[in-house]
Amino acid sequence: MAKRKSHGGEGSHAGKKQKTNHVHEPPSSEEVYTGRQLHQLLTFEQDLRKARHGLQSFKDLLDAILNGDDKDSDKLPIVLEFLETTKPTEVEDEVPVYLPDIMETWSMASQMSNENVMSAVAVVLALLLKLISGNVDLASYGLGICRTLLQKRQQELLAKNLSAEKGKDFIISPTLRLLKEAVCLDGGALAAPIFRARNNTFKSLARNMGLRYLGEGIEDPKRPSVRTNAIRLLLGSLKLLHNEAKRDLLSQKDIVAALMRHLREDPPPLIYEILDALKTSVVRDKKLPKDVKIRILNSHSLTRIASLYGYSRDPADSEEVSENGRPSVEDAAHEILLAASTDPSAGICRSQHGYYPEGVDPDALIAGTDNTHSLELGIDSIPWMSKFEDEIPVRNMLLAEFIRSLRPWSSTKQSELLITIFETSPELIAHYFLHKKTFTFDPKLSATWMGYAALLYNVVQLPIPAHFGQGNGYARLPPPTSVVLGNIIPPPMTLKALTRCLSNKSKLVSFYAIRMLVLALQKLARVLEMHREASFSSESIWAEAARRLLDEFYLRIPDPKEVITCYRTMTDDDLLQREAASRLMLLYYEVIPQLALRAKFDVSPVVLATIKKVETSENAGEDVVMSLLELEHLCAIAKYSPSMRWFARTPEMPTSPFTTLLRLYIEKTTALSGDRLSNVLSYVADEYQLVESRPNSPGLDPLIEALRRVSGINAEVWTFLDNCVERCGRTPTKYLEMIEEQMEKAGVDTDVNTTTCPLMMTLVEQIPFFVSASPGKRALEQLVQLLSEYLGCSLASGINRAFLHVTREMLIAGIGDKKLGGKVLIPDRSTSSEELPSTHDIDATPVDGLVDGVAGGAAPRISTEELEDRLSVPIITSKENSLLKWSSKTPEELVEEGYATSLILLLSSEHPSIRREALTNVMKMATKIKESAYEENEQIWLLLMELAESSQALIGQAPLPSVIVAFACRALDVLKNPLHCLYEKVNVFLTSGPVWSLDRIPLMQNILQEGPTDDGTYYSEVSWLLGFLLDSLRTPKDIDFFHTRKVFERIFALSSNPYMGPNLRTQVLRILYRATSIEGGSDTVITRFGAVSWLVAQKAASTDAAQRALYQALIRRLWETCDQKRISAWSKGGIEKLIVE
Amino acid sequence: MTSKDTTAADFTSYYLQQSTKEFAEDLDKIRSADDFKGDALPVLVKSLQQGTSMFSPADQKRVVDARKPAASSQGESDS
Repeated sequence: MAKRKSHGGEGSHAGKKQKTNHVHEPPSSEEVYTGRQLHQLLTFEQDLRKARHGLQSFKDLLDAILNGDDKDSDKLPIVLEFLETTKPTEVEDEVPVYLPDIMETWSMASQMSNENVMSAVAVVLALLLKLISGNVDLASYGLGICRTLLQKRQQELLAKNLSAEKGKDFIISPTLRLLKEAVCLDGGALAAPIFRARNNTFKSLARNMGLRYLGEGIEDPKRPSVRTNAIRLLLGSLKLLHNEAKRDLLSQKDIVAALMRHLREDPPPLIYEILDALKTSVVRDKKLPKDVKIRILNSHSLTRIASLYGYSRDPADSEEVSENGRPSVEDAAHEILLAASTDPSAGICRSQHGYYPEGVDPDALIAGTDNTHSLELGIDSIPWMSKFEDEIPVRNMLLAEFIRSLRPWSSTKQSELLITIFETSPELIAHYFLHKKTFTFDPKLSATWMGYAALLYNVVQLPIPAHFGQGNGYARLPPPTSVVLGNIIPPPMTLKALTRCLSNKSKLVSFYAIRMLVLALQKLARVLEMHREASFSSESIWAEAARRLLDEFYLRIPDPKEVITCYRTMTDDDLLQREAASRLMLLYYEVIPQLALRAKFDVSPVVLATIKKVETSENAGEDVVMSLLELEHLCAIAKYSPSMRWFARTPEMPTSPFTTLLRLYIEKTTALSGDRLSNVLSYVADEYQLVESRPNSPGLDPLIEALRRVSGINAEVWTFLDNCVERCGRTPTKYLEMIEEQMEKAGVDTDVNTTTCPLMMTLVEQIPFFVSASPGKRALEQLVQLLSEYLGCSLASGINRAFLHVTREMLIAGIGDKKLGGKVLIPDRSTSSEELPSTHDIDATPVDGLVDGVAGGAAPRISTEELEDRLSVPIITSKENSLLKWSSKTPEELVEEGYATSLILLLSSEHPSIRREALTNVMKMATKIKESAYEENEQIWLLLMELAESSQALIGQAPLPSVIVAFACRALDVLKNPLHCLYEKVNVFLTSGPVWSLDRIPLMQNILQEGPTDDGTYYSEVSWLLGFLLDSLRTPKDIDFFHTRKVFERIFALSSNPYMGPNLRTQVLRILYRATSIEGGSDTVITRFGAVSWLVAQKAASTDAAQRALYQALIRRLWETCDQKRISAWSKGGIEKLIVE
Repeated sequence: MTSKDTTAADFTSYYLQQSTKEFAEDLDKIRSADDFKGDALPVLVKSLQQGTSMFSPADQKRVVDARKPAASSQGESDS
């Protein structure tokens, strides 16, 4: 067979079975000048040579018009005239036939198998329709011609042309073009009828779509192959057909398959056309049903489109891209794949349940059993729990099949596509790896392995679907362990592979493995947390699932020893590796401590070495930060390591690790560093009892703040501090006993809430030795400055004032030198302490959701302001110039107008001098009143003198307790009115002894337990008591006092009295409200007196909606003002639960 | 570009620079591997810089901030 040229519609061919003698001759033609001439040329002739001559002349004419050669536009009228003259006259009952002569010629040529003419007719008609398409006025002719084509005879002619043998491109191509023009004519007016006649009009379409260009190089855009023409017909139809027809068209499997089969071999322009059509006519066609969409976007098609990744047929293509602003073939394919496989409306991506396999209903009752019963049987009673280790049913079967064909390790785009699919359909992750058995992760320093590692990193990093993919809340049953595990540590990351990675001699391989393990442990931590969240609202089957998950995880993760060994091989310059490895080790300790502690890793020497490295580092800034990060991880590990010797000095370093770290923390960290180092320091200080470890204790903060305030601390001072820290850490009990002893000696009453600091006692004990070692003057002065700051900061952060005074005295004594000792002060640091973040406050973030939850419920919500209006009572304060003003007033004025009260209040002033002054004045005032003719002079004198007597001992060291001050003021009110219900009780109290006990609440016992003096005054007495208690509650110390005296217990019990009126109840609430506005108050009432449950009970018992709202608002207030993290942990989430309810 | 993006970009650049320093030998080996073709270079670079996601924005800023003075002095000497 001679090699044939495919010339489309040119007409000069060497067919295989030529039957005429004229075939080899090129067709003759003549120039056309008039419509009439054209008509004549095209008149039906028996002689097909003549017919061909006419058709060729017509073609030349149309070409000239379409190619724009017709500059004078004198040729178009020829065609118009011809169309007009040949337009069929309308005859009833007769179907009009347009261009009858041409149709006749075509028919005869077909009968005689004259392929040249068969081709020529199609060529001419296609051109003519193309011309008409571009000219609205001619639409009626076009429609006429197309309708003629749809007549049975012409349909058959079309079909015959289309089904010409392979290789007869010159017949098939123009016919396809003709049909495409017909489909697209007039906005697709006849697309539907043409499609209806698909038996003829789309004949052999699938086969024709397979007739692609086989020559060398790229297909010439001007001479499109049969495939190109066939595809254009298909795409034109897709674009213009209505949905029903589209469904039929896309149901032709052979056509869809033929479209996709050779996609990768197609020229770029054709690919763009196909992808564009898919995007606009399928993916983005919102009206097209999903089931129709997936007929064309099936996994085979997606795979074919994905084969365009790496398409680089035409290097010029990429240059052309930038000019057109058109994306490359690869980008276009990527875009459509992303859209198709992640947009649920594209039909491919179906809704799924994350980590729950298809067909599993984790909320369903377990068939045939009593549900609670089966849950008690544990996780193994769930029939599907361990069923998915070898096979996982998924809803997105199509995607599952498709993604297996991707090569994400060798292409960033494919990797991106796969990860995006995983993110939208997490159910596929476990399924993918289950079926990707060939995917082995054995370490090998190759591009493919890096690609694998990158993919696995991305997979592990994927977020966990909310509630593991189960709707709006956690299901009753957890997802299968194997699936969860596969998402945390994908199956290719086998224990063997990971271990081999860690011990690999290539640093990069072990680095990648370490990074992946970091992510895996972080994800595990999150998953375990989610299990805990779920078990909070459900049964403990979640907790069991979490345990099982951990057990399985242990089997998959390398022994921490492997990581440690790997870490030890790293050099000092391997900053990223060291950081990552230390991070990983820390995660071992934090997430799976059981396994980590088994390694018995002595972190001490490593911490020391790293501290030294950071200290002596001469590297650039960012490298130091990287080492500091490493150090932070290591120190956090050291917290867990029992073998860590925090206070042991080594020859290499002047101070112990603890002190060195403290110094590094003071000198090297910035605000950005966060709380990691300080957390470690505070932890150690707590653990070794350098400071008191209790919730209200400020911990190491005062020392840190003091160190920050004194710049450039001398090495000698550091050594001294180190020495003290070491001693205190070694024998803390000794110093605790010392505190007790000294406090007793000083006559200071201590209770559980007196905050002190053992380290200070060590300083006291050691300072004489420091002085006697005759250090430099500078060092001594600096130490004195540091000690002052330390005392000041301690006072500001709530360390007991009396204790600090005792300490100060002892420090002064220890220093010996009076001049220098005198410089040890307790400066006021209360304002600035708020500027520095406290290590204790950092985690106390409010839990918004819970606060909102509190507000819920049927009762009307009371705002914070409203609550304040109703329950907040201002704390009484003394008037201005109370110390001086009183002397000029009469006794009546003193008692009745509050001058005495104002003076009494000064006894609780912060400043010792004011208190002393006030005390003197109280005594003077007492004398003045006694000597006057004031009616109640004796009693008032007695009250004031007893007050003075009781406060004398304390007044130099600390403010008088609020309760005493408040009692004196309130008693004064009682005494001036002999008709007061408490007149007798107060007098009896005053005459019972000369000194009041400062640790008791006067009259509380008498009022609450002895009953009223006069009948019917019980409630008045209680009301007085509540008012007095409210006045007595002003400072955190008062809270502690109330705690010791169990005041809340008593006043809460009062409310059990059903006859108690609303006003008294409100008074109780006012006291509670006052407690919430004092630091630590809410915590005390919640943890010590069950305030929340009390309020909940009050609320439940109350029938008044407004009252209920008040209780609810107070519960909220309690929650808002407490240390939420601590309370949450203390109650194991119970408080929140109570609050929400 | 917001300062957050700048920090992330600067940190990525530091991370890549440091990786190429630490793994110079290994990276050379990969580049001469048989399968190092096509998309391999971008895949490799992407995979290296993945590790930046382990660092919190605050830590990234710490590193970048520490770097700034050095970077500016370098810029001066370059000019």
